[in-house]
Amino acid sequence: MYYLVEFRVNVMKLANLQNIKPYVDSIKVKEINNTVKEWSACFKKTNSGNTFGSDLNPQSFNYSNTLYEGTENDSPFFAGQWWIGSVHCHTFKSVGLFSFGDLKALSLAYENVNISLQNDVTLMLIKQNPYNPIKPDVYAIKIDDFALFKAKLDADMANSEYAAPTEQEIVMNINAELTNIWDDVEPRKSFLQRFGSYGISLYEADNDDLTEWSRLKIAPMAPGGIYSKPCLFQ
Amino acid sequence: MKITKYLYLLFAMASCKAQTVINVDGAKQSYGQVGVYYQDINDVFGPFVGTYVYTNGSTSLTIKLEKKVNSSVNGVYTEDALIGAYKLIENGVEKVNVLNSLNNNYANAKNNSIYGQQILTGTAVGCNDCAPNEKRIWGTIKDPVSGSIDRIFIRRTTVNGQQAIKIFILHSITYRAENTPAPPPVSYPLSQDIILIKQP
Repeated sequence: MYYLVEFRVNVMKLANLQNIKPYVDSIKVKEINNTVKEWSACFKKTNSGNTFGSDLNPQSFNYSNTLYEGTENDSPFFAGQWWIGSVHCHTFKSVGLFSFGDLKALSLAYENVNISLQNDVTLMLIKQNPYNPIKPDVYAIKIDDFALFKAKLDADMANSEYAAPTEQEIVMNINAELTNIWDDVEPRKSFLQRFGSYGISLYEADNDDLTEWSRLKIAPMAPGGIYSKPCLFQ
Repeated sequence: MKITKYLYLLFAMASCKAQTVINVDGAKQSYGQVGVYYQDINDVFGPFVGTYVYTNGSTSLTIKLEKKVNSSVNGVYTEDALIGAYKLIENGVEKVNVLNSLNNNYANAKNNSIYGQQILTGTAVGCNDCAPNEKRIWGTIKDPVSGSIDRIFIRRTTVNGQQAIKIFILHSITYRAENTPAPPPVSYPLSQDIILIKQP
């Protein structure tokens, strides 16, 4: 419950700022146009006052970001002291939701960010809605229990099934396995079945302004096996 | 005597226990089970085997594809897969040439420069002009120069009566920590269809 409230507030602050939402909207347009490349925007939150800002005083922060083209092979998500996350889109040849590589990135961001900003760290994904191609869905993941999350990622990386000479190859092996598990109709359920026990939460934006989000949970009796609980009323 | 008979029977039963075989085409969610052999029962990979070339002036891409049978995935399970290697020449300069790597005959097919185990059917995953029963391969391609590993889609086609493959390489967003150097550019062309003609 605590994290739901916290998440909603954080995302509202992030998305309502005029220098961030246009980038999210810009990537949405690329998704609507069936982009053949992945695009990403990264979010940086820095202290602009004499004292370090807090969530209760968001005006004390500056937000900045940059839009990168994924095919440039540069790494657009600069994990570091002030980098709190990013948003990226899928291409028309992509499947599923967040990849294992995305989870590793989330972990990297959390580990590198200033401890005061760890609760801000989030990774967003824009994915085409097959039922409404002009209105892509926006998802986000956040970390609830970093120790558990890290342990789960490390266990996957050490799994002999995925063993490979380099870390990148291991990640790709895990990503390849993921492509087998995605439910084409309900990838949210596939994600939660695979990563629901990893100490993270999955959210879906309820409006275009990104001010209202719902946390998604597995619920076998619900339509599509997904239970969507608005965060606004937590 | 009776005990000997029972022991013999037990041994015979154990010997007869066959390895579980699952068709690699359609295995999907059952993939990765310990001890299973994911076999290309319908020989989907076979027709992809061959050497293919794309040429445009002094730029060329050569891809050699082979079928790997009963590849062991780190001793966890075995699988049939499409494997390959490639040579890329750009403006007369050889950027990548890993064609000889196929001679390594890796036990694990995933170690090859090109590896594909997943079979896509019909229009799945962004192929609106694919026939309903058409089979494509969805795999990975490695760039030894940049260290990048990317998604590759391989589709069979014909060009003026010649057998060919159409490939599309998809590069995913990658991440790094601040103040660390950006990786070098990916060698091969990304996010575009490339048609390579099968060589005799």
